[in-house]
Amino acid sequence: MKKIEWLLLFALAAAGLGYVVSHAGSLEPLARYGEIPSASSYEAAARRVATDFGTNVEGWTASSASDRDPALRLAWERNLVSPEWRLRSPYSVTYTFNGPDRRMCRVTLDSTGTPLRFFRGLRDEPETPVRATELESGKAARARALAFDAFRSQWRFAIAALTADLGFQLTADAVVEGRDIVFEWTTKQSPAAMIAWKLTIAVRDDAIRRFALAPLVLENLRNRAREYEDTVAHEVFVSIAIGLSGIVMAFVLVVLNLFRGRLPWSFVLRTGAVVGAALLADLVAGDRFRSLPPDWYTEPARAFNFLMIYVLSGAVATVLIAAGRSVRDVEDFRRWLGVEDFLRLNWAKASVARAFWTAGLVAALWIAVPYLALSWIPGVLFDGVTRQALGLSVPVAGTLASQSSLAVLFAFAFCFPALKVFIKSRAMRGAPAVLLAAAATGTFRVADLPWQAVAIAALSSGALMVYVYTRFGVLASVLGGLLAAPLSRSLFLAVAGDPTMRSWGILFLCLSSLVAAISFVLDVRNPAREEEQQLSDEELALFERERQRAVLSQREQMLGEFALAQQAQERMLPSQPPYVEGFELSAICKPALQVGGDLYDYIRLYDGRWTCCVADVSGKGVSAALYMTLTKGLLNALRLDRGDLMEIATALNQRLYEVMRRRNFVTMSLAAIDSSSRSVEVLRAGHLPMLHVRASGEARFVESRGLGLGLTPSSLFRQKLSAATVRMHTGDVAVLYSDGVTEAMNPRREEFGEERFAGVVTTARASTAIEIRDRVMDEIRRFQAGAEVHDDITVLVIKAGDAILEHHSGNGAGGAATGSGL
Amino acid sequence: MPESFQIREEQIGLVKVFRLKGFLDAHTAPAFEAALHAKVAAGSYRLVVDGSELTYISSAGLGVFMSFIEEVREKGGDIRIGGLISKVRQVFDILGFNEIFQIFATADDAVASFDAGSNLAVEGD
Repeated sequence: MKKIEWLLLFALAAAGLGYVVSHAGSLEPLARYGEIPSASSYEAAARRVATDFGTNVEGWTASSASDRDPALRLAWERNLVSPEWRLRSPYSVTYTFNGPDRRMCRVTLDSTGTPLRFFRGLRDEPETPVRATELESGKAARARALAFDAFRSQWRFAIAALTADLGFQLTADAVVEGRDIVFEWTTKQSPAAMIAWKLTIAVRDDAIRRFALAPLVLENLRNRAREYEDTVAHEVFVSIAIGLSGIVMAFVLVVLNLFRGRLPWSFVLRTGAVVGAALLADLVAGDRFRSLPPDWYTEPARAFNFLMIYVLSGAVATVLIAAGRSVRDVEDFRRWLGVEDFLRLNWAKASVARAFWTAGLVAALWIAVPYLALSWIPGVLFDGVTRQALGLSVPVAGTLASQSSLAVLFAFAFCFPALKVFIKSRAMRGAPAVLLAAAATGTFRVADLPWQAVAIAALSSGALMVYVYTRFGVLASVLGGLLAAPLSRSLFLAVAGDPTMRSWGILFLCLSSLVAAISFVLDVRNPAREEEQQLSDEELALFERERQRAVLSQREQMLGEFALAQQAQERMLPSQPPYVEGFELSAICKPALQVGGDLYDYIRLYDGRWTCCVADVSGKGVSAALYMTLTKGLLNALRLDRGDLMEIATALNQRLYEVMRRRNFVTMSLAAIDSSSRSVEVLRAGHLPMLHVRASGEARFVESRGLGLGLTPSSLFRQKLSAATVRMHTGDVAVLYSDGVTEAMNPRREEFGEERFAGVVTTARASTAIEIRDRVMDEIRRFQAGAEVHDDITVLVIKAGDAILEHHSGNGAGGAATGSGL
Repeated sequence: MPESFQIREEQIGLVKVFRLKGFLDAHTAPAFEAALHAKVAAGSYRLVVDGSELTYISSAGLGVFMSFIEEVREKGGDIRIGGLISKVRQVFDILGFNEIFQIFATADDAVASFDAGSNLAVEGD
């Protein structure tokens, strides 16, 4: 597939996704109303209210009706009042009780069963006009007294049910309505609750005729709500326009290229499928939105849904493209997806498919973050009116999210993998102009937002467009598509005369449109376009070669490090054995892998005894080598102030137990040579027992108890540990070795074994220590006969020479404390 | 070459038995470790390893036993070993595993030891 196809595909996918998001934000709030209260369940509550207001409706016939309550509706859908209002539905239910003598009583409840209105009067009472002048002054005074009484006795109940602390105020003198004298009390408008309450008491002929309590939506609130609605409609329009313009532009491009013979039909089908998938995802997700609660946008569910849309459409698109690409098998598909590279942030490996994943992820983040910052958190902190005042309303955030995510989608799809190429690109000449245009576009889009948001959007879309222009000249037309979005918006704003339209916004818009138009024209007319495309292909190839070279050199470097590690480890082994009076020492270690887990060393104890050590770290390779280094270091540190082998081994066990993973351990044999008593004290920590061959030819393995180092806590280790002492007569040989010796295998997978080993040493016992060592190694090599070597092989020979009676200082050639070559 | 390694799992009463076959070395240890881990994670703490068909064990293989023994014992269970052939048994003994693990002549003995309720206190922590 050519690059241009991928780019167009992205244009389509991005446009589709943008459309999805815009569309998702466009759902009309009125469609998300809650349930109408079920009438029957409220009858008991209504009867109770009537009784509380002094009307016994026992035996009266009841009828109910449910309807939208305008005040409730406004308060509810704007989320403008205290949180308890979220429990209420915009619907109220009204019970009408009809009693004898045309007496009737009407109770209106909201969805929570709280009384909203109460009315008591006569059915079908004919309205008889009564002139105010007919009222006697005494009658008016009586009515007022009655109303006050009713107010005092009943308002507390009514109001307490609604809001706890609102003080009532008699706003005007009594008004004469028909034959009634009507008194009205209203609450003050509370800053938090934009709804005032009105209590109406109508008095006629010394009796309360009507008692009604109703929420009163203030006039300014109504205006505010209308503005809000307009904003929503406007933003919805803009969002859809943006999404659609992207799609239209992309399709135009596809069709144009198709007729020029530059695109196969299959591509068109595939891209169509991508857009279809995006729309389908929107459809599915859209249904979820419609079922969300009224204050849905203040909840994380919102962000989550957006995330789902992106992930879903991204995934579907990916699969569809893959299907059209005739993927051979799952492995091929995985490779094509580039999941591993993606997870390792291996951006250099430009995989278009990975860009989908990236874009989906990033876009989801871009959706979630603005929503959290601009909507959800303020939704928790502030009430609706404050949010409105601060400009933290949903549609703004929604537009920001959909638009900026569109930009980011592009940016991440293309910028990261080929950033190097971009920097090298010769086509940088148009960059400043496009940057200006892009920045302006980004700025303008979010002109009614905080500067941080503006900056982020400007930078991201700016980076995108610079890249698109310089890297893929032909896609300047896609740039035009992007610019068409603010253009459509500005046209709408200009027509609507929106006051939020800022003059500098218009200026930048004009500039960016101009640049877009010029670049488009230049691009279409530029005959060198194809050549540029070729050049960038070459640059890509160059880039790929460089990348491969980098990988290769990295590998060489690692091999070099490995060799260095091997050398370091070799240097860690003593180059010369120490001089020990009356004894000959010799050792060798042949690692199976380049760095190994075997170790031998000579250490001098606090009491002056030279001690031979052979150790084997479990496992192989680098980790074994590291533990080996640790063991050597610890051993040399611990021997300084101790003269007791058991104590050294226990201390070593403790250190290793603390630092090693439980599955790793070290086995070790220690043999402390006492020249004066001509004996060797042997300790075996889970290691193979020392071979002792007498000059007479009698061979035996020196048994003693001991657990591997690092396996158990020191108490248990010490408890199970025992040492053995072997007297070494002239000509006796003692050999410490690792399991690489006894487990060495021949091609028939037979083991070298203890017997063969003991036999070799016995045969060679008369030779020098070095010769014995070499004989053992030769025999093993001969036995292996070229078979693969699985384990390090270590042999350390102690040979007792002639007894030296005269006593000298004991320090010989290996005067260094450890005798090591370091 | 028969360098293969197989694990067969069997449930005998409350005891989970792992029957190992072949070479348990650095290459095959991860499979055994995964098998043990799965059971321990699933809450099986009475585990028996049948080594009657285990022909070779390396230090990496031995390490697997140590990886789980602390956790299993903390949960009141144990890993017991049975039926080791003499060569493998020797490797266990040299390392001192006979001091850490209860090793039985056969896997059946090891299983039976759980049934006998001899949930004996283990030396060490």
